[in-house]
Amino acid sequence: MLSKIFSFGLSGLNGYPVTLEADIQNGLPSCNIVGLADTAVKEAKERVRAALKNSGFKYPLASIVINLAPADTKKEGTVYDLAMALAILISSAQMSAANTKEYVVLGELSLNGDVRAVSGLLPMLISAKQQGYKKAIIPRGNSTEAKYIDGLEIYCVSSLCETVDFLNDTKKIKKLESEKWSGISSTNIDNGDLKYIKGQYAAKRAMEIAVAGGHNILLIGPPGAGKTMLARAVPSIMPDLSFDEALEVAKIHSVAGTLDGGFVFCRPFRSPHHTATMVSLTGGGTKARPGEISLAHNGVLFLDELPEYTRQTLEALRQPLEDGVITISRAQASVSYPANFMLIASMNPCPCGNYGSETRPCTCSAGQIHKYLSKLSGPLLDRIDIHIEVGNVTYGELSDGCDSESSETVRKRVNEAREIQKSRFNGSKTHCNSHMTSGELKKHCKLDSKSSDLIEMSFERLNLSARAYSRILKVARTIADLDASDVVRPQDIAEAIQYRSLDRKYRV
Amino acid sequence: MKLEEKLCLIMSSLEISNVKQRDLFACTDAELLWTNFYDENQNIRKILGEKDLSRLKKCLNQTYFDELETQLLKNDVTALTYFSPKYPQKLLDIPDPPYTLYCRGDIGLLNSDAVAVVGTRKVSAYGRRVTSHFTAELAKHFTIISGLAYGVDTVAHETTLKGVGKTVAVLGSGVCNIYPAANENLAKKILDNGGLIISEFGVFSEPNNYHFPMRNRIVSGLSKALLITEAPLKSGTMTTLEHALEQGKDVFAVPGEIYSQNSMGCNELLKRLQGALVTDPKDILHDMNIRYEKKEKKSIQLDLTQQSVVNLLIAGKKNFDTLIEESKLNPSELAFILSNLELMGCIMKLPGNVYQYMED
Repeated sequence: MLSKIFSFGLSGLNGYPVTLEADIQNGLPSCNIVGLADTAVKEAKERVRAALKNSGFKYPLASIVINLAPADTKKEGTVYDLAMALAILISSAQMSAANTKEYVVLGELSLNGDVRAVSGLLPMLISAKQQGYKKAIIPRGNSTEAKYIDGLEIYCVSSLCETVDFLNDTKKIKKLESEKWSGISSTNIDNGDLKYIKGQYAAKRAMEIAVAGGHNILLIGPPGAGKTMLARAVPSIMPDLSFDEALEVAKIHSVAGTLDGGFVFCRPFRSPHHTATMVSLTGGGTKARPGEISLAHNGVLFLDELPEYTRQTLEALRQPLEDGVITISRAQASVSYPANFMLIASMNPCPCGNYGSETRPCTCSAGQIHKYLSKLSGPLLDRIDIHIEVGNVTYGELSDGCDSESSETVRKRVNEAREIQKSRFNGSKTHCNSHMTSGELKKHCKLDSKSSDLIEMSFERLNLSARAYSRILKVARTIADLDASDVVRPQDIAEAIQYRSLDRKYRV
Repeated sequence: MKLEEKLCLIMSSLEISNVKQRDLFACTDAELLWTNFYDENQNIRKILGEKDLSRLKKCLNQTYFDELETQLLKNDVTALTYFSPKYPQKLLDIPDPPYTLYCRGDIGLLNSDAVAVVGTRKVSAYGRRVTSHFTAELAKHFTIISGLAYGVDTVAHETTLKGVGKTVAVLGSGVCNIYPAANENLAKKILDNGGLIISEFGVFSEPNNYHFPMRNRIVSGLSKALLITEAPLKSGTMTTLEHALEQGKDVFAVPGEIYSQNSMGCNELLKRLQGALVTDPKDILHDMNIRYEKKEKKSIQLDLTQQSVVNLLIAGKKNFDTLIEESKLNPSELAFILSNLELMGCIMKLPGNVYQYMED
């Protein structure tokens, strides 16, 4: 007898329907899975056989063929285990096929018949909903990520027996209550709070501006100045995550299998080590997996010791930094993943780290310093709006008993500035100041004569390079937003000028 | 072209050292060498050594020389030899003058009044300020000579180019092989502004490390006086100093903080050398009997908060965070004030987010 079960597959972040067909013929006992299945899918037959037996069913001693349609697309993963078991049961007349046509079935089986959680479930369910499917059966372990999907009847199961009973109408399972996104406060204080960082007023202010406008930022300072600590505190001042953003992030993490805690409640903070390869950062591999930059989507990508990364790795960041999306093309797949992240990078001013320090002498030669700084290409620096030099904290500042401003207050200001930007860019693709196009720059950053004089003078006197111009305007726009000012004022420009350290040609 | 000159060029292209050339010209006649070069002359053999002798023998002909001349023409390089009438008198007066001098640019500058400004490659903010301050004044009266290296040399050339002055770069590599490569642009600017780039090494010579002490004798040789703005104890600048003293030039140095590694060379020199200490460009000009025109001080109107920040900085250079604590301003207000003061030229930003008060 022939049976049919619906399931889903994933290509990038988009799901596509997969129809599982099982047929049992007389013949030597065997089980063949066809339809471009990878090893994980092929091994399913062993899991299914054990699971059926250990759940009290009979494994048919006949020739079984399972087909995964469309048969010309690669299928991968363990998500089809449960559907296969059901298909075999129906084909061998151990359960009725009556109810199964309505459901999308997803889940991995363990040998004792339990249903295990799978990765990539969230994007599959979203696609199923968009393509008009009404009901789905999923592993109980995936219930947290699934409960934010509205408009799909979702049933969670924990074992094969439970699934069969449910489909035979002998057991009721309550459908998963969908939960409204309540804008769960995304404070991520475990990583650090600004109030624990003493001194560093300039750097903290720069961080606030960077986060408020989504600007990429580069911290330059000697070892031990607190660059990493500052960067780690950034999630605590990031603006709230909206549901759509959260869903996007969760989809990516679901595909990558890094969705800890079931769903995403706060903006991701990714800090890959500098030995990271280009592929691990951009994504790829034979299966075109999302890389660190996609995992940092809607969040922060922190690259500590920026010049230590290989040139190739850094240059690969240029296009996604501009477009907010990365397309990975491999022989077997071509997939686009969103990669709209805020880049925080840190570096020392020279290889020994002490150049410019008052207290410790720098031991590098002029050539070495040049070489170190030239590891960062102009086009990459072009995409970093704010450079800030972080000095060493004095003992006085460290031992000072009073707390500085807490992340909570800063976050409030950031949120307000983001609201202003949201209404400004309403209807456009841009959503924060850093992404303004040149047209928008002209429209939203009109300068009065005093401001344009100021910026002109600063180019003449301060040795700023041409690329600094639009960066200064964008940052000035954000500074004005933080102050809820409609126009860009001279003081905004003046402050923005202070955040262009690397453009100053005062180095060796 | 005289035979001697041809010989100089050929020998310089084979990188036969200056000392060997000197000895060779002392013991024999150019005509003899050119027309009838024979192995039996034991003197020549002794001076040159087997290796150089056989190389020279191969190249001592008109065809090879013509090739050299085309190369010079093609690269727009003028070669002045010891025997040329245009060879600068100043270099004839030093011990061990270079037999060949390759020049790009205006060779008239070789005979102008010049001051050499040299110092460490790893210049501090202090050294940078001193160098540009002194060079700016000196460039009004003198050609500025330096070595196109990183640090003080670069600042000296750049400052001269900003004004109306002329500058000469003496290289330790070939004149068409600028070292360090990062200064290629600067070299181009020097030429565009009617400056001069010279070297005693072949047009495309590599910057070998032993070249640099040698070129330093030309730096000092071409100048009336040598100014050292910032130098640590062990540095190439010290060889320039020795050459200058040997050649009997005036030497000036700017003192630095006694604890600063970067200034120890200068300070040590000042201990030994009376009258070398200068703290103002006018000290040098005065020493050379040039009248110093005093600049009119521009008076700048500061408001109250600006004045209070300036007062904090007059007490000493401070970083942004210290200024915040002392001025009780918030970061955005302070950044605004600092930007303005910087644009007015009252203060200067240094690496490490440090600000410094500027008197002039």
